[in-house]
Amino acid sequence: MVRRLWQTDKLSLAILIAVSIMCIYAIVEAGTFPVEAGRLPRVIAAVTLVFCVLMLGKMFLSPAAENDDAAGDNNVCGDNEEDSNISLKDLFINKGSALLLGVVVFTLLMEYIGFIITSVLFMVAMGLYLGQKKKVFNLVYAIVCSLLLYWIFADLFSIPLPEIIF
Amino acid sequence: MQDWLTALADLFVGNFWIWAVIGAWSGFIIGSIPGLGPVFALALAIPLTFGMEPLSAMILLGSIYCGTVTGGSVSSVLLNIPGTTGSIATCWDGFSLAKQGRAAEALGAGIMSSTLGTFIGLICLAFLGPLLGRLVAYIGPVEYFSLIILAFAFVAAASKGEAIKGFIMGGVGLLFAFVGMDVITAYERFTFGSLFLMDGVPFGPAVIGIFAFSQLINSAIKGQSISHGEKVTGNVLPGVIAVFKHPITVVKAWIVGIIAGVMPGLGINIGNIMAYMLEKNASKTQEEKDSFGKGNIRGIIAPEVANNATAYANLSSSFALGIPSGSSDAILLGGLILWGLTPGKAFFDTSQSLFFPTLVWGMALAPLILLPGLFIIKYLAKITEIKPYTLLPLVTVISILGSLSSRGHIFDIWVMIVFGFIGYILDRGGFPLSTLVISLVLGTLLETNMSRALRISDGSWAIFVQKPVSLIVLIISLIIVLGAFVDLKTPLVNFFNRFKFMSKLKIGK
Repeated sequence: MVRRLWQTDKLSLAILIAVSIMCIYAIVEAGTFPVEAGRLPRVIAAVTLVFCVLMLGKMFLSPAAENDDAAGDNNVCGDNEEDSNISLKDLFINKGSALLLGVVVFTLLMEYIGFIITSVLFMVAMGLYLGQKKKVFNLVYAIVCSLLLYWIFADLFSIPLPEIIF
Repeated sequence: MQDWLTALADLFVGNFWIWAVIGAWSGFIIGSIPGLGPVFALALAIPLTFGMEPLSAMILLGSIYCGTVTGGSVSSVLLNIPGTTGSIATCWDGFSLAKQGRAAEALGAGIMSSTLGTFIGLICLAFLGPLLGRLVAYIGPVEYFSLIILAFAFVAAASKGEAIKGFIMGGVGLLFAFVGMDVITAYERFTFGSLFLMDGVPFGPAVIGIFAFSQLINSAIKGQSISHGEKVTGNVLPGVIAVFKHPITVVKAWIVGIIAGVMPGLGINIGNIMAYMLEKNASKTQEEKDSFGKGNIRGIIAPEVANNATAYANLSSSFALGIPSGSSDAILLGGLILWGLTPGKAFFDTSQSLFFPTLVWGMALAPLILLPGLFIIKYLAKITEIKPYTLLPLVTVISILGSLSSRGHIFDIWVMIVFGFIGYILDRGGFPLSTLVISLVLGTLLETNMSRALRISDGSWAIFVQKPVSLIVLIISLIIVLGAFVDLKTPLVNFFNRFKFMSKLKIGK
């Protein structure tokens, strides 16, 4: 049944398992806190865990989990328009993940080469990756936007942005 | 009357208009930039007011405040990034309308609703402020705790789809809210040894991550412009007219906004979501209810009226009690003290030379923002037609800067990334993100009031049912929670229909 459920609604199942683990961790960890500091986190984590178990129970008892024919046709817990029976490959290997990776690299690089250079590199790379054909326009656009944003945030609003360190 | 006339006479002083225009428009622009809300704008402006006379300073800060709250709807509609925390609920239907090519209509409705909210908030500040301020003083931690429970029940039960998902997300949001030092004992919780988490999960970057960055990931996957290739109509008028076609929505949002405003601690971030949920729950049919989040114009009107009404109603209790309702109120109160004025009840009695001009200028500022705003937003709406390869990298960088601007730590960008990823996964799984965010906001407030109440009662939980107001609120919360899982309507209708005279009233038919 678990296998069938995994096939029909693996994303919801994965989320519920992750939340349950988080709740169990919170209950155990809050047990080490002083009474006043740990009381509410323990209660909330326990109540959330109960809801997770109820949800899992509901999913197991739903027709989609029992009926092979229903597999793939029924989003058990979903009201979501998106198909929650999405494969892990489709979920994680896509242009969205590339954007996520790009932002991670942006954050890591910004401390060393400063905001302006990182921003220009990021905007040029992401623009090209997402389908921008006009390369010169892409470069000019990235430079102008980066300088404008730097001026607005660093000069106008006095927010210190990372500078190049060498 | 004399005070009002004197205040009206100030409208003819040119210098004051300069400060009002500068404040209103800079506030509108700052409010429309994600991550830069009223707190940011007011904090920047306070040093500028040191050398100014109190009335000019109050006009400048008041106009900035008004401008930022109104401008918050712009990025909510166009980019799905709340410009201020008071515009979170505006994203849900505003951005959906933008995706349908109706961004201008959504912006028109947003700015018109904000203006109406400002007017009623000012009226509340003028006439009800001192009175409500005194009433709020009778609400203690026990009642606050119960009211927050009610807010949770209300929001979770109204979650898109199954209520159980709403409750799970509520719990997750609360667990995130418990990260950092405990407000009562100062004990470090769930920080994993990080100094950056000592003050808790930074709200701004977390919200930008959940609502903006997750949406950017989705947009990158879909590879379409925000309007999905639809041409923007470029006409704000239908949106403006829609506001006047829904007077009941406006009135309900006013009431919610004022209630949220006069209660210290709730503020615009709660008021707008509560107004949205109330409007959604008031739907007569399931089909109508389901239309919320998919581009229902009432989903913009309600939060936008409420957040402006809340912003000014907030000031009434802040000025009357001297207790700030939120960060922006705290900055304004700080300004009052710097100018040599005393907040509290005395502010209304002895500082009338400043109080009434503040109200009059607030009234004057609303159209000052509305009219040029309506003209310019149809051009802003064209942003939704821009191709993703042009817009997406730029908005991503703005989101990064928005996260960075709250505290200036690179760590906050990591918070945005993590919450963006969480938001993307939860959204794909059909879990309501709104409940997660509202729990994040209310968590500290819930715990603080619970701890205070338990200290009063020497640790006895009975205190929450011994106080009549608290008991009533908790019973209502319980009914809402039960109603989310059990069909309460049918047995109630059957019960009442046993009586002939009730049957004649055709209850439930």
